[in-house]
Amino acid sequence: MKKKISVSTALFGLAMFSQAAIAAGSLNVVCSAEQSWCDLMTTEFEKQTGIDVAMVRKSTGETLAQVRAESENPKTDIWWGGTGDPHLIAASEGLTQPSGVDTSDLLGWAVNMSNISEGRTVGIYAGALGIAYNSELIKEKNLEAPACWKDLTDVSYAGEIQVANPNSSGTAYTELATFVQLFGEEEAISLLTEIGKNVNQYTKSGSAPSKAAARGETSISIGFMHDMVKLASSGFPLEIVAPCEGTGYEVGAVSIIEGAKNLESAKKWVEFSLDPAVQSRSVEVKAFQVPSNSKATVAPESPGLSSIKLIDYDFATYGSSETRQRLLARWDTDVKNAEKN
Amino acid sequence: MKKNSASVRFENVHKSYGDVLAIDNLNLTIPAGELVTILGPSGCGKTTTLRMIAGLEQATSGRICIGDDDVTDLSATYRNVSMVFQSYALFPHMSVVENVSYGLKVSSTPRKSILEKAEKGLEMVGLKGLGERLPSELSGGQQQRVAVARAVVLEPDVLLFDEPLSNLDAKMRRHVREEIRQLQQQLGLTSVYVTHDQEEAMAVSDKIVVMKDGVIAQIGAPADLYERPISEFIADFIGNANLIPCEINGSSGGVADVSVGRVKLSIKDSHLAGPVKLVAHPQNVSLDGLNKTNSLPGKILHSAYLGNQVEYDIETECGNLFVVDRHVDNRHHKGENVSLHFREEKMVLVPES
Amino acid sequence: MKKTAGLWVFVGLISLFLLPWYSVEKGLFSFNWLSTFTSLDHAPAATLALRHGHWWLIPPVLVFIAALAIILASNQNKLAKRLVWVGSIGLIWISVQAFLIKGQVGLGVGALVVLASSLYLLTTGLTGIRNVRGDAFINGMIGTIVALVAVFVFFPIAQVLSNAFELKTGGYGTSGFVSTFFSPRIWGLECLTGEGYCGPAVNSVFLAVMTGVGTTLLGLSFALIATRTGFRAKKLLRVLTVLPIITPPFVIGLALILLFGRAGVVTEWAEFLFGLEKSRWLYGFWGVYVAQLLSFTPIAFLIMIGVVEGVSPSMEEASLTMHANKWQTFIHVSLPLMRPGLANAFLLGFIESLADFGNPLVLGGNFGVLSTEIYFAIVGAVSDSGKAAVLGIALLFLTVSSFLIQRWWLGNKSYATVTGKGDSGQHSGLNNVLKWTCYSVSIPWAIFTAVVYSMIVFGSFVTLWGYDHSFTLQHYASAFSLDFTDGITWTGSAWDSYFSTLKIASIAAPLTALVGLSTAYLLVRQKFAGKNLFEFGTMLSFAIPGTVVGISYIVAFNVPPIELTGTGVILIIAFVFRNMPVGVRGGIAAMSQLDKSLDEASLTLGANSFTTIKRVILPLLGPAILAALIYSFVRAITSVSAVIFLVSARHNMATSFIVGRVENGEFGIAIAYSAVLIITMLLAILLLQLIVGSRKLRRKTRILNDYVPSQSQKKVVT
Repeated sequence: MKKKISVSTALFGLAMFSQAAIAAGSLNVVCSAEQSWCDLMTTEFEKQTGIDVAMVRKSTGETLAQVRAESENPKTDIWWGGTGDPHLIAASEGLTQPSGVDTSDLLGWAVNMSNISEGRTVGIYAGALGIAYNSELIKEKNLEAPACWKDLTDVSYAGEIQVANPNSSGTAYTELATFVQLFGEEEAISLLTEIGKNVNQYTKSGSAPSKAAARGETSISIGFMHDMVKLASSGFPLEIVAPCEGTGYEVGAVSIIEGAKNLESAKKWVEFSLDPAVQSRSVEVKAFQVPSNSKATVAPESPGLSSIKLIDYDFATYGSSETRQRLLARWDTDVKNAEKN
Repeated sequence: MKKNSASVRFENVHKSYGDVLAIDNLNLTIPAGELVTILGPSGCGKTTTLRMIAGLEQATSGRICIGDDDVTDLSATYRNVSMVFQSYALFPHMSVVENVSYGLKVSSTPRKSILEKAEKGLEMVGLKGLGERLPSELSGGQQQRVAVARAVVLEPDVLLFDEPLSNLDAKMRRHVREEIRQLQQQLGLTSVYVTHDQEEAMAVSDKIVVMKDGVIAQIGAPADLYERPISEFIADFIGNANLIPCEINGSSGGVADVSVGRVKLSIKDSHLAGPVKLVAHPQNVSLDGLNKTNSLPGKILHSAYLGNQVEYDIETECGNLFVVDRHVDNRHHKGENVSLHFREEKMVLVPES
Repeated sequence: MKKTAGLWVFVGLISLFLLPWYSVEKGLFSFNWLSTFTSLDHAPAATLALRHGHWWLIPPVLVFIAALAIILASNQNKLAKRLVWVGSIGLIWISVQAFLIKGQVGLGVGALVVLASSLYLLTTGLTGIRNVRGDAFINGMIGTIVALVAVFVFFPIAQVLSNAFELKTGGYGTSGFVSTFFSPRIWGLECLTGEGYCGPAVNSVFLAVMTGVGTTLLGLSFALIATRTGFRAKKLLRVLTVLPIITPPFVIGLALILLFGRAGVVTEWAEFLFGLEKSRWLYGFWGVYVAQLLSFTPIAFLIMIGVVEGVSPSMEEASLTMHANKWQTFIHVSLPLMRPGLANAFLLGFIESLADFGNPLVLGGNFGVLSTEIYFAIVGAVSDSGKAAVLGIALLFLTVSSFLIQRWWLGNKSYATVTGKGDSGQHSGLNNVLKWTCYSVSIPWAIFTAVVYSMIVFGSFVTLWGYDHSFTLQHYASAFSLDFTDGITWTGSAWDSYFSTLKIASIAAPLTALVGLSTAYLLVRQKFAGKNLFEFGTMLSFAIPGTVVGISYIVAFNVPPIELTGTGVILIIAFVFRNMPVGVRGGIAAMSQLDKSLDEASLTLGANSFTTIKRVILPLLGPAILAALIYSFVRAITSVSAVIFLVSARHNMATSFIVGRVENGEFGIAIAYSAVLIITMLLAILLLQLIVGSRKLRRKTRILNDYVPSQSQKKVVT
C-alpha cells in the first residue's frame, strides 16, 4: 500500500519536473560549430538583445536527425553552424523556413546558399578542403611533402594517409564531390581508388584524420583547412597544403526551423550572426573559417580563399539526395571494396 | 497466554501444480487446542497441506476455514497463523531478540509490551540472556528454540511446524520435541506438525493424519493408528508390522476365523471379507511356541542384540518375519529352529492391497 | 479490498475535479494554474468536459463515479470483477482518446494520476479474483512495472522498429526488411577467408563473446582475491577496478591511443628498446577489446563479489571434510554455486559490449560493429532510418539469443545458499595455483589500469596532451573557475552541465534501483502469468543501443499525449529504463541465493509483502542495492549514446559537453572535466557505501587460510 503511494508520488514528481520546458521571450538554439564558438555567440547575443538563449551543441548529423524527429512539434528555433549540406537537405524537406534576412553584404557563395534554398538557409562562413602532413614524421620517414591531390597516389605513402568515410562524414563527402567536379566522375573514382591503397583507415569523423596527423598517428590527412590551422596554431607540427589542382569547400550555414516557437527572436539571431562585427570575433575562439560578410575582418592565419584555387562548387547538384546516394554507392563498391583486396 | 485457539477445517480442497495433482479432495478438521501431526512419506502432500494452512500456497479449489472464518483467499500476512520452518528461517541480519519481536513489531504492538513479550518468549524456551546474539552464533538446538519462540509470542490461532527437528541430533530431537509438546499443552495452542518420522509423530501428537499420494490414508490417535490400522500402508508405515498373507475361513459376530499357514486364529472386531492380511507387530510374536500348540515353525536368519531387546529375522512358510523379543537372557542364534506364537488378542486384519 | 479501492477512487476523483488535466506550460510548480483554474489550459477533466465541450473526458468521470457506486453497493465476490472492469475501461479509454483525438496538448498531472488510479483499481480488483495470488501490493507492483515498461520501453522501440518495415515506395511490408536483414553486408564472413571485412554483426558477436568471457574471468579473479585471500592491498584493488566504470566515454580510448597508438609512449619505447616497428594495431579489434575489458570488468567484479560472498561456507567446509582439496572444492562446489553469477556477469559483459558505442568509435578503425553502424546510419551523410532499424533488429536478435542461451544453461537448479540457518563456517581459502593465477592476472591488470589513469590525470595538467607536456592549470580554470567578487559566480564553462548532470543522476539512481530490484523481486519470488515476457521486456531497453533509444524517445515523446522532449524528465526516464536491467540481473542473482523460507517466515509472522521486502529482503540485499545504485548513478553520468539526442538547452549533460570538446580536439579540458567527474563519482560511491552499509550475516567474516595463519584470524573488511 505505502509503496504504491510512493510510486505515484514519484510519478507526480516526474510530471511536475517535466513541465518546465518552453519559456516566452527566449530562443532555443542548436549549435553545430565548436563549443567555444557556440558559447561566444550565445553570450554576445544575450548581451546585445536581452533575449534569453538556451543553446546546446550537437553535430550536424545529430541535429538533422533530431529536427526530422521533432518536425511535428519542434523544440528548436535556430540551427546555427555546421556544414551546409544538411542545412540544404533540411531546407529541401521543408524542415526550415525563409528568414527574409538582407544578404546584400554577403559574399557570393553565401548568397548562393540562400538562393538554392529559397532563403531557408544562409551561409555564415566557408572553409576549403586541403591536405595536411606531420612535418616531423615526413622528415623521419624521408618522404616528399605532397602538393597536389594526385601526389597522394604515390606508392611511398602506403599506409600513411588517413581520410574519413564519406558515408559517415560530411567532410569526406565534400572531398568525394570535389574530386568528381575536378576530374570527372570516372577519373575521380579511379584516383580515389589509387589513393585508397595508401589509406590506413577510413575514420568515421571528418576531423579525426587531421587530429591523428597532428599527434603522429598518421603522416598525412585530408580535411578542412581551418581545422588544420587550428591544430597547427595549438603547436602541433602540422603543415597545410592547398592542392595544386584546386579544391572544394564547405559553407557553414544558419537556418530557422519550420514551426519555431520564437520566430521573432530567431530572425534577430540570423541578422546577428551575419553582422560583420560579430563575424570578425570568431578568431577569438580559434575559428579560422572565412566569414561570409564581406565587411568582416579575416584572421591572418585563415587559409584565405582568395589565395586558394577554388572550384565552383555546385551545391545544388552535389547536395541533392540522388547524387549523394549514387556517388556513395559507387564509393562503396569501387573505392572501399578495392581497398579490401 | 492464549485461551481460545481455533480449529482448522479443510472442505473438498484440491491443489494442483500445473498438471500434477498434489492434494486430492482433502476433508479434514483439526480440533481447537489439539496437536495434530501430518505424517507421510516424502511427496505425499503433507507440506503442501501445512503451507495451505499458513497461506503460503493457495488451494486450487475448495474451502479452508480457521475457526469460523473462511481464509481460503486470505494471504499469509492476514492469517493469525505462525510457522516454524525446517530451516528455521531466522533472519540472519537480526539479533535473536529482534527475530523474536519481529512479528510483534510488524503487527504494531505497543513498544513496551514487545520487549516484554519477546523476553518472556525467550525465557519460555530457555534462552534468556542470549537475546543480543546473532543466529549464526547459536547452536542448532538454540536456533530451533528461537524459531519456536518467534512463532509462539504472536499467540497465533494455529501454530505450524514443518519438520522442525530434522536438523537436530537424536538426543536433542527427543528433548526438543518434549519441550514443544509441553509448551503446546501449556498454551493450549492448536498445532499442526509435519514430519516423516513416525516415532516423533507418536510422541507429540493428540492425533495423527497419515497421508499418501495426496489423500488421507487414516486419521486417529497414535494408539488407534498403531493398534487398529485400516490398510497395509498404515500398518507398515506406523507400526513397522509384519504383513502376513492369510485366509478367512468364516466369521460371525465380528469374530473372524483365519488360518495363517498351519496356525488358526480368531480375530475380534473384524468385519472384513475377501483377501486380507494379518498385521502382526514384531513384539506380538513370541518365540516360545514349542510349548504351545497352534504355532508356526521358523528358522533364525539373523539376530541383533540391542541391550533391552533382541531383534530377529525369521524364515517361515508364510515368508520372512521380523520379531522383537524381550528375553535377552535366552537368546537364539543364527540357524536355530524356533516355533512362533501369535498373541491372538493383538492381531488385526487389513484388506490386501 | 474495499479500503484500498476506495482510496484509489478518492484519489482519482480528486484529480478529475481538481488537478489540471493537460500539462501546464510553465510547470506545475509555478502554481499559476491555481488562479486560472477554469481556463482551457489549466482546467481539470470535469471542467473541460462540462464547460469546454471536451465530451471525450466525460467517460473517465463516469468511470470513477461508477467505481464509487460499485464499492458502496457490491458484495465482496462481485466487487473484484467489477473493479477489474472499471479499471480496464478507465485505462483503455483515457489512452485511446489521448492518441485519437487530435489537437490536445500533452497529458498533465491530472491525467497521470487518473491513469494510475485506474491501474490500481484494476490490480486491486485482480487481487480479489481467485487464482491470482492474493496480495494487493504485489499486484499493484506488477501492474506498475508492466505499465512503465510498456510506455517507456515497448512503445518507443516499436515506433522506431516499425521503420524497418517501411517500404521505400511508401506503406509497410517485409520485402525490404528481408533483403537488408539477410544481406552479407551485415553477416558477411569474408574476414575468415582473408578476403576482406566481416559484416558488423559478425564482428559484434565475436567482440561481445570475447569481452563477455574476458570480463567474467577478470571479475571472478578480482572477486576471489578480494574475498578469499589475505591480499594486503585489497582496498586499492577495489578502487582500481571501480575506476573504469566511473570514467566518462572516450577517455579510456584516448589514453590507450597515447599509450599504444603509433606515436604512443609505449610504442615509442618499444621501438627504442627492442626495435619493434611502430604499428597501428590499436585501431581495430584489439584496441576495442582492450578498451572494453577495461571498461566492463568492474561490472563483472561487482556482480561476482556478491556471488562469491554468498556461497555458503558450510558447503565448502563440507567438501573439504570429504577429502577434497581446496582446488577440488573450488572446481566442484564453489564454482558451480557461482553459476548464476558467472552467467549474469557474462551476459552483462556480452550485452554491454554489443551496445558499446564510445570505444568502437574512437578505436574501431575499419572494424565495424553494429552499434556504430547504427549511429552512422542515423547521423551519417546519408540518413537511413530504415537501415538503422534493421541493424537494430539484428542487434536485438543477438541479445535475445544470448538471453535464451543463458536461461537454458542455468536451467532450474537451485542455488540458494544463504538459508535461514545461521551459518558460522569459514570460507575456504584458495589453493596456491589458483591464488597465484588470480594474482598474476589481476595485479598486472590493476597496474595497467593505474597506468591508464595516471595518463588521464597527467593529460589534464599539460598544455597539449601528446605533444606539449608543460604543466598548466588552464584546463581546470576554464571549466571550473569561480568568481568571488560579489558572492560566488560560477563562471567556468562546465558548471551548468555539471550541476544538471548531478541533479539528473541523483534522481535517476534511486528510481533505477527501485524499479530494477522490484522487478527482480517479482521475477524471483512471485508467480504470475506472462512472467517470461515480462522478464524479456525488462531486458529489452538494455539490448538496444543507446543511439536507437535516444532517437526512439524523441520520436515517441515529442508529441502529445506524452510530451517530454526538452525536459530533464526524458533523460531521467531514459536512464532508469536503460540501466534497470543491471539492477534486475544483480537483484536476481542476489535474491536467488536468499532462501525463500525467510520471506515465508516473515509473511506467516504477520508482515505483509511490503514489510517483508523492507525489513527482510532489502537488508539482506545490501550489496545488490549498492551495486544498482552505484551503477545507475554512474551510468547516468557517463553514458553518451542515448544522451546525445536527448540533451536540450536547459538540461545539458556532462558527457555531451565532453564529446563536443573531444570532437573539437580540446582534449585538455575534456580530460580535466572527466577527472572532476571521476572524483565526484568516487565521493558519491563512498557516500553510498556508508549509507547502505554491507550485509552483516556473520559477525566476523573469516577466511580459512592456513597458508598465512597469522592473517586468518584478522577481521577482513569486505
